[in-house]
Amino acid sequence: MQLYSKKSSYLQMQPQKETIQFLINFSKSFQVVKTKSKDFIELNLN
Amino acid sequence: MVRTNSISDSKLVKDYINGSEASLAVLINRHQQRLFSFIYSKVQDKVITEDIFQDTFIKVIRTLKKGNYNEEGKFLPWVMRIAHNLVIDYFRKNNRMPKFKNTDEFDIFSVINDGNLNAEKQIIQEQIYHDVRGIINELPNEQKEVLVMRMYKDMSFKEISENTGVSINTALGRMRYALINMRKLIEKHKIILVN
Repeated sequence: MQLYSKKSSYLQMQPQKETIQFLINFSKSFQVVKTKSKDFIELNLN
Repeated sequence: MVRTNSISDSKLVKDYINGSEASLAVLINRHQQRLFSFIYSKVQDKVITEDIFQDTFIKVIRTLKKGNYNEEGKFLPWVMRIAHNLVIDYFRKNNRMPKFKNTDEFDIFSVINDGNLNAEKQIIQEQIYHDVRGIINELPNEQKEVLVMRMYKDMSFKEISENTGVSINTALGRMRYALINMRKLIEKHKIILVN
């Protein structure tokens, strides 16, 4: 049985810059408001 | 000027929860390669990897902003667990919606086994799976965790180490003891695992 499997070139893979930018923008526009009844309201202020 | 390399994940998470959007960018940049590679190693498709990577961080953002993150575990193993669960969700959905289409070159029936053809073998197979599950359940939790990740989820020891928060050597050791203990249990219960 193989006990340790070496990983190949895909260890160097990265997401697209657009994906990272989308996440950063999403985070900036995403707000959570707590209501009096302790529920959460998610707001996406795009 | 503070070098971002020297700031711990834990501090960045706290800063982000307190409103520093820049801290999120540092966290994403710091872990993007590791996380992306981890997802790709499972799904082997760049577009799907991109989607799961994005969904993982959307979940991270939601959880952090709702204040639902607790600092019990480390940030990266937590993110990896989210990604891992999303990968499992993807495979589950995918299995429910087979995408194979018959063409002149490819016939789906050429790769599907008819398990009913040999009922006896199937019963024995099920008994073996049942016995193996029983043996695994008798293992100590930490050994069971490593064994399941390695044998059933096909994770490398590097990934297991990242997911469980122990060193690769410890994970290897746990796997070794899991196998030793399984052999002992097989002998103890006089189980036959051959079809």
